Amino acid sequence: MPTINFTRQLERFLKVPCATVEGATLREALAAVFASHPTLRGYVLDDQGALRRHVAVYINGRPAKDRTQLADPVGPDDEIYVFQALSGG
Amino acid sequence: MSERLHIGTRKGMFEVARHDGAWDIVDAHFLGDPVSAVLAEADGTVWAALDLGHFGAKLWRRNGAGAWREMAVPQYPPKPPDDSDDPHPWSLGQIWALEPGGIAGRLWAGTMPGGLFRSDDGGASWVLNEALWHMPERRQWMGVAGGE
Repeated sequence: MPTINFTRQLERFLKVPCATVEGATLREALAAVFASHPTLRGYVLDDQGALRRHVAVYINGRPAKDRTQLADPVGPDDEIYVFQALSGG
Repeated sequence: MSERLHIGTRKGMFEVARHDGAWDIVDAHFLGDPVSAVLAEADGTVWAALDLGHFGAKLWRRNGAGAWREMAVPQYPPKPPDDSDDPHPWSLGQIWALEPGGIAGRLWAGTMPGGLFRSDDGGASWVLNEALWHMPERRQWMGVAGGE
């Protein structure tokens, strides 16, 4: 089962898990985490279900390609990292 | 007349109270975070809307001297596929106005983009004012919340 890690920056606002979850896509894996941490969803996804503009997701070190449908496949040994992107100026 | 002000800034929310004719900062909340709107109601309930750059718009409520509690934020419906000429996103950018509804549990929220939402359950859920959102003139609205 894939493992999801969230940036420690989120701990300023709410508890965040490091979770091993069921799921064959990024969307399914995130949904499994949000099922037990519903408030976390609004910090990672916008109200249309897409990744927030300044949130970055990496799967085994590679950025997620589908930021809208979150259809990137994930395997049982994959590691997913959710970060805040470096942005601004 | 109230002797206490609640001031939202880009670096947090501050409570300022008057003592012996002078105003002093007596408390601070959400230090370091942009506070886009504040509402202090007559019954002691205080609302603070945050604009967290990476993590979106948030809404917090405190009853009297109690703890802050995160509430739901307004959500836009999906943008219809045949509405591609609408220049505005159908997605919450930030809450930039909060107003009491005049009855218990009712609250109004104005957002960027220019939508108006109503809660009748103390911020647990929100309903978009569809009539205002679907006005044809809305597509020409601009300049909300510091630019869009």
